[in-house]
Amino acid sequence: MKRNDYSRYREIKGLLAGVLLLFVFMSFAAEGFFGWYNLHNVLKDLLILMIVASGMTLVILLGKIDMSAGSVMSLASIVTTLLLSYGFHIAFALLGGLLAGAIIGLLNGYLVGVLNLNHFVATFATMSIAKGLALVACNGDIISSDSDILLFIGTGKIFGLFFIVWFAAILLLIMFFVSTKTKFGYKIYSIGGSEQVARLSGIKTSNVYLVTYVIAGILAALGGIFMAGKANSGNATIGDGYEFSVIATVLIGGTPFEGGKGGLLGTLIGAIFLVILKNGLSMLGFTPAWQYALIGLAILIAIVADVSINERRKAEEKRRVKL
Amino acid sequence: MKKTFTVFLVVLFSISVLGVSAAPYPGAVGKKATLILKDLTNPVWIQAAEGAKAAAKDFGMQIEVVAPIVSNNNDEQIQLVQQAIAKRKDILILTPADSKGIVPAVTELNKAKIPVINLNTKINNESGRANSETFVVADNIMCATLCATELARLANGSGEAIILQGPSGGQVTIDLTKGAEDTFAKYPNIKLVDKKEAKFDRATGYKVTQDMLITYPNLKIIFSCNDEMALGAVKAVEEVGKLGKIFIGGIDGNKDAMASIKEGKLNATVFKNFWLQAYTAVEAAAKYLDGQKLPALIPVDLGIVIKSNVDKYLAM
Amino acid sequence: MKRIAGFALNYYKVILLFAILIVSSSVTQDPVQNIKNMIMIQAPFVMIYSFGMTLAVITGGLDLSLGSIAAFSTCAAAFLIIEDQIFVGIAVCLLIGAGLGLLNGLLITKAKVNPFIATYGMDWVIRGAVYIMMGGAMIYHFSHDFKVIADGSFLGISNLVYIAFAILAILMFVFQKTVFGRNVYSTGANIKVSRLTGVNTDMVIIIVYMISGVLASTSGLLYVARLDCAEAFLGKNFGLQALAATLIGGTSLKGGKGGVGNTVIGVLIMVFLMNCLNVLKVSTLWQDAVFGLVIVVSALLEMAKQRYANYLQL
Repeated sequence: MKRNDYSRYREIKGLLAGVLLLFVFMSFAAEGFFGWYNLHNVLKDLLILMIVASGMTLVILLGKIDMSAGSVMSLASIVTTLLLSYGFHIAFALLGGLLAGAIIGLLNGYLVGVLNLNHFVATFATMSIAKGLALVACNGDIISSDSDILLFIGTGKIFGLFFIVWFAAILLLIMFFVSTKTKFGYKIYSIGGSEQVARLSGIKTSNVYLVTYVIAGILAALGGIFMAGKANSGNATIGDGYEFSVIATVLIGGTPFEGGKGGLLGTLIGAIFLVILKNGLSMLGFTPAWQYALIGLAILIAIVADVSINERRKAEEKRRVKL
Repeated sequence: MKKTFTVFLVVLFSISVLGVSAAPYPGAVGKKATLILKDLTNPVWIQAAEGAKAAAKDFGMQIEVVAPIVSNNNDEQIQLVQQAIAKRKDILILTPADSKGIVPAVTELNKAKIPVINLNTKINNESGRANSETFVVADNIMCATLCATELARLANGSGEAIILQGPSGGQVTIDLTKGAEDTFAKYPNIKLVDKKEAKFDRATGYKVTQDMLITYPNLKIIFSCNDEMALGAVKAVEEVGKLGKIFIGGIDGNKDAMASIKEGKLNATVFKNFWLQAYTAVEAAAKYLDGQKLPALIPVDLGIVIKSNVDKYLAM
Repeated sequence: MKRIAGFALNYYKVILLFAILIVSSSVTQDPVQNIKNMIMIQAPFVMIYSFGMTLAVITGGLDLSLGSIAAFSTCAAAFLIIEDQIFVGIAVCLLIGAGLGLLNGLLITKAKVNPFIATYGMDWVIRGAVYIMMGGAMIYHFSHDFKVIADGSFLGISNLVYIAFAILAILMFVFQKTVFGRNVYSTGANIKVSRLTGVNTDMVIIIVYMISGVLASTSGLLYVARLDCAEAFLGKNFGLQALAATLIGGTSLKGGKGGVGNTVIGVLIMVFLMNCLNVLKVSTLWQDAVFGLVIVVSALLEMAKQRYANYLQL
């Protein structure tokens, strides 16, 4: 395992350098970028993205995809605030939101793992279903919450750091541990490497799919709840298109669609890259039109660079084998 | 006679010199402001940006106009508010895309002691934690009321009506729908038969209207939440030869919508005057920075554009 | 019993299509006009850009940049068309479509970027470019000669139908009867084997994305002509709609299977269903959920069909 981690580091070295360069550039060029207040907020947005992206990373490590992540965020934000508005205790409301995510995740896992439906088709469909359920539940309205606890979850601080930062730090440590040091993590990597081999070696693949999709659903729901906390209200459009940012984050972080390669560390660097880029471009005063073009360009450059580095290394390894 | 004329000239001259040399609000000169809009890809919001920049130039202020990349996205607006705080702006003009969801961000502004000028859509301050200095009103509920009233008048206060909506769950859609619903409810003979999402998109508006014309053969009124969808509806209605029998109204006051009104196809739109909205808001900000007291509400003239007055608006 | 089940599974899409049609026709007062609307106007637009998506899916990829290609190419062309340079304008529009498709293809084959992320990134870049180019302006009031392309009809049938079917016929011919078409399918089915058998897979993929770009521009141009306005937000939902139509039609995302013929059925199911919900006065809020369900159900039926093919002697 240790050697694996090291080789991961080598793979993302280029991206890491890019992120540092971007950070230094923005610090000098963008007024107000390099300051505790801004960086603290950037960290918060980064961690919300990272929570959702860590679930997505596991799914992509399996060689699958979860298109429903953004809609699950919307659904969770609606369910949580709706339960609050019906007078339920905050604990039940939060549980309800997470449960909604788990149910959509379970549905994904069942369709993909048990019924063997194509993963893209299945989650593309549940994306519509989850969004639809959110819209029907809120009746097309924005649900406001007057819960100070929900507000605290989104904006509150403990010892000077946002609650989200503490929470995400612990959660991500657990996720790192699960994905690299446990049997379950090993199973994910081996299924992603080759499903047939994994099945022949006695891994119950359908169970792994189910559990992974449920985890991804719950993490997406968490992201949605944090978003709802930031706004102290639920909105069925909160997660529109978010799944694309999440998938881009994972891919930039060096976890390819084929699965079995990459991991959470890369995704974290990918998330830092995207969030700093977005914040910096906005701070520099680019209009949305320019931001569209530049963000798209940056994503393409990051991926192309990653691919070409990998290709070169593959070629090198081949040469070495021949020698 | 000659003397009076000279005096008049002197007075005129001194006024014009004063106007050029001394800014009307000396306290605002050199101050930094941020205007947060809901969108900067739509033509009407780009007009707002131009209005704000013109005002900033007139009052010697520095202004930055920003908007979310994904239009009407509340989370991005919160981030933009925080960026303005990070840049230590002197004043913030805010057009919230989600009047409830923006509240925590406004609370943060209040804490940072950055004054807020509320523009266009009202910040929901039921909790008392989202205070703004003034509200420059060009409210969507009002726009919808204006347009729906005109449509009801054209239809002689009776008939079936539908509403074409923007993306479901968004505040703009919610407010405009509410305004139209409440207005139609005042006319006992107008029956609101359906509300359909057409995503603010012309092509979708066209398609949905085709379906609606089949579903409700006696349709009399189409209220559309923006001009894009309204023009799509015009096309669909025109193709079945019912122009003049069905009354169509939009919101925003786009140039091509007004051209359509001039041709006698579209019946009404609400000229939201985004340029003036933004100009007025920046002027209010300048007054505030100059130490003047602001009224709680500053209305901006919203004009209902119909065939008889469209030339005036087209000339603007 | 076995026979009925077999028949139902084999023709479930057609059965579904007719079922939807019967429901919507029974509640409307003017079913003929309704069907005319759907087949002559609504479906052709969606079909043309969905064909582009289908071709990309056959090669084992997908094209998320359809909508922004349509917006960029038509807006650029509109500057010429408004000056009555209609043919030059159309040529420029299609060329830009092909050029942007070429960029997609190069990213996917030469830079080896996954099609999903390549076309997604391109979608952002192109959408940004068209926003910058238009700067909030719209171009409208085109000449009659241009509008008639999408507005006119011949023998009582809308030009859109002729255009869509001409494109369909060409694509069917190219993808079923020519060597190139076979190469596309074999590339999608197994890229390594095709390469070994001497197929220039890179070239195949590049050409497919160019065709996809041209189709996006074509449908964009038809929208511009029909609605008499070129604007930067055109086609924001093209990508996802085309993907849904392709999937409902039964083209497999694994590549190498399906075709534009399937997509015709997929588009019709989508258009009919949307219309059915509208005429049944179902609240718009349900639309997304119903759509998701239809995608799942049709995918499950497709799978059942393959799994029980032997048992039911299909």
